Amino acid sequence: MSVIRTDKLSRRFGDVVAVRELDLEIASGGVVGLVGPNGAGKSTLIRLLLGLIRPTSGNALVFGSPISRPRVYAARIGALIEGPAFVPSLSARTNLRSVARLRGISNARVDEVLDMVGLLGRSREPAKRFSLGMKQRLGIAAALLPDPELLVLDEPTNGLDPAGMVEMRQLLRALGDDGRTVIVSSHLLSEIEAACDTLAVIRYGELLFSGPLADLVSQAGECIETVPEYPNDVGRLTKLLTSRGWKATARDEDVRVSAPASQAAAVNRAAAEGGITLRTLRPREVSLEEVFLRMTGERSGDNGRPGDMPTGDGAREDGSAASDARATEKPEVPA
Amino acid sequence: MIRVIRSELARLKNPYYILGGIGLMAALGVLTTTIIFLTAKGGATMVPPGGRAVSVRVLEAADGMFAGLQNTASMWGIVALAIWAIAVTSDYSSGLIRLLVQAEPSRLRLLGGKAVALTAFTCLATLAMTVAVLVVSPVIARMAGVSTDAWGTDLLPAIVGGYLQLTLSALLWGVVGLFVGVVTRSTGVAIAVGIGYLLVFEMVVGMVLDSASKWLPGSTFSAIALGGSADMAYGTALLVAAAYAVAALAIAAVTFRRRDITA
Repeated sequence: MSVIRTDKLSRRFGDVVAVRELDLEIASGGVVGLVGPNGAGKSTLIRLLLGLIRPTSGNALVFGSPISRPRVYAARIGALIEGPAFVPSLSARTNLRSVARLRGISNARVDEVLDMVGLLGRSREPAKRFSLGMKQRLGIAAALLPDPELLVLDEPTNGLDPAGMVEMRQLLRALGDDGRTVIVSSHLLSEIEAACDTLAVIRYGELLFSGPLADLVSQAGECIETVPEYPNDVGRLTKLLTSRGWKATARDEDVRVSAPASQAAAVNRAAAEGGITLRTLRPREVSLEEVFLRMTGERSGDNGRPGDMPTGDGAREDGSAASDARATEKPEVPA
Repeated sequence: MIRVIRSELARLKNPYYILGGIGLMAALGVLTTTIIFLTAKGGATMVPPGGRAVSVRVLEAADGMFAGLQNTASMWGIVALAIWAIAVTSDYSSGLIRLLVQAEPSRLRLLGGKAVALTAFTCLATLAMTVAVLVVSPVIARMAGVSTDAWGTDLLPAIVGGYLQLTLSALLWGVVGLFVGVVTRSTGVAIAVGIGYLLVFEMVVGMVLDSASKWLPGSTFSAIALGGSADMAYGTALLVAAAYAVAALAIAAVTFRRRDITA
């Protein structure tokens, strides 16, 4: 069953299209990573789904109800959007109680979620005294208040220290394993890789990939990293391996060969025959980060693109093209 | 709606609102009362827009203890305006509005609940101001040489009537604050607009078009605080103020309901 289904969903800000004819389907249960460079349209998509902004065209269903009627499904969703938001002078507990009252939730649940995020012992302190990481935990506690079936977290590990990030990952995994659907938007691909089952990659408002994380990485394939003894031989080694039929790409001090690990010996032999001694010969899998950079153009979204809107407001993200649901455009594999 | 009101009241139990709102209004009430009483004998009392010069005879009347407050309604009205505006705009500046709208997608219910909670808060703030003035005004009157012999007659109606008029005037200023807050979404701009309107616009209009100035919001709300003025009867002031309030609430509601939450 789909928790979220969008059908040619578009949102325009003036002349700029933030989300264009986006078709996306997210199945129930598990942890879903929503990734894309800055300005890709992730936050705009989240705001559309939560009823904070309205689409220019297209439709979307959340729990089977149209996003034009968010009241129907609001009680089933918890969200942390663009960082935690609280009254700084009020204590963590009072802040959460205020949200709990709005949702018709008991005070006992407030203590439960404070305990879940490790803030119960400091719940009487004003939120303004909290570190960035503690504020982030408080924001996640607010999202957890309604015991949501769908949890939407925008950059949940922002400000967390390494131990906090591990705890957060474990919490997300536990929630996902518990049958809930957790959508995590993040720039930290290592976090996404560690916590998510499936992935949706967005760029310029278009869906580049949607599906199991393992599928994406396996599509990218393997490569062999070769480092010649002398850096000056990088160019010669690249030409040599290319002439032998491999796809070889020169980098700073090494040459990447698109080939499975089983061909490592052949690559080594070819280099030796060409008079080049290899200092390193290492088969490796292409990382999610490499796949992501190739898919999204190896360029920071902050550097802009034609028609970009001013940055500084997440809702003003922009995008341009659409793609098909569920997946499916094969990513360009790094050489 | 009840849930929204309870949520808003929880956030209004904030030391900044209590000290800065209730405390400031009480302090301002005492201050303006003191100035009015001490300057009355010289015949040069402070006359804010919509107010009137207060004679010793007015101060010595049965409801004279509130004459200072009633004649400076527009000044502490600005405080009420600021409280309401800050309550709205801080939701935007803190990003809390995202959380609120996601938790309660019915925006009219959110705005209505906030208005009800702020109404309760304003009634409390005006009560604190009234009580503070009630306590200190006999002392100030003695210092100013104003007779308080008549203050004991019909004391309860004078207090209740004075409190209701002051509260109604403060609430009307608050509604203007809500309107400006929703439209501008900026605390600084909202307060600047409020103060600029009162201290600049209405005064300039009053100087240029004396006959028209009585219909402006500041003068109308002051007339309500006074229980009617020479320029405008109480009933007329209530009708005009109600029209302003309905228009302000309608524009705020439509704006809040239709606008994207991009904070």
